[in-house]
Amino acid sequence: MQNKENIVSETEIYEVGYHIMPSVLEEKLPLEVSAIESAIVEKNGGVIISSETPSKIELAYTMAKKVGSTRYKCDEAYFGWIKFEMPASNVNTLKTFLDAQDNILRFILIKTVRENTLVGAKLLADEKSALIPKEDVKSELKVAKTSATEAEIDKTIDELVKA
Amino acid sequence: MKQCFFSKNNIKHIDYKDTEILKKFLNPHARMLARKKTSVSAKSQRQLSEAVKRARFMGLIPFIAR
Repeated sequence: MQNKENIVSETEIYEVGYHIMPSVLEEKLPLEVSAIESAIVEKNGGVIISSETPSKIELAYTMAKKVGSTRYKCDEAYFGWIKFEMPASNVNTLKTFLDAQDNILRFILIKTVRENTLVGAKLLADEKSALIPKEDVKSELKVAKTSATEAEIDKTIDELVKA
Repeated sequence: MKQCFFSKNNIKHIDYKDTEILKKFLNPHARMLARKKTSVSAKSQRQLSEAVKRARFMGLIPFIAR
């Protein structure tokens, strides 16, 4: 029991966010991703929790990466991330692996939590949807009111005609 | 008194990839807004500053904008 607890306490939840160089062809992106994944799972005994495949994004500022003697400037890159659980002792080897990759423009390795932390898109969608039904309800109410008044008007007209 | 945005929406961990949320707390120059203006709790403001700095490093939001 104690051993189990020790093993559990040694592992931590991490997340690596990475930019792949825009010079990499889109067909070859899965190769780059699988290289990172194998470094996490096979080489360092990690378990992947969740991930997002890289997609091309425009960077907020120009980034540079020196490969050999050439300095590449990038305005866009393929951004993806992987959340995983790994023994804390192996994280340094993963970092040195990522540092050595020529096709990774930049990466960030952070401690995080197992739960999904990305809520922005959902929250904003909820905010928008919360705004739309209110208008609908209002218009429905208006329609209901006008229909009621129409019926009343009809009634009064009928009464007037009868009289 | 206005309530903290993060406690109101039950956000316990602020993700640096949530740029749409982060942008709510930046001014047009991409500098962080003061707690006094946004009513964010002290704890959330510390998390927010960490997330903003990470997002800036990863080029998701700018360091400065004119």
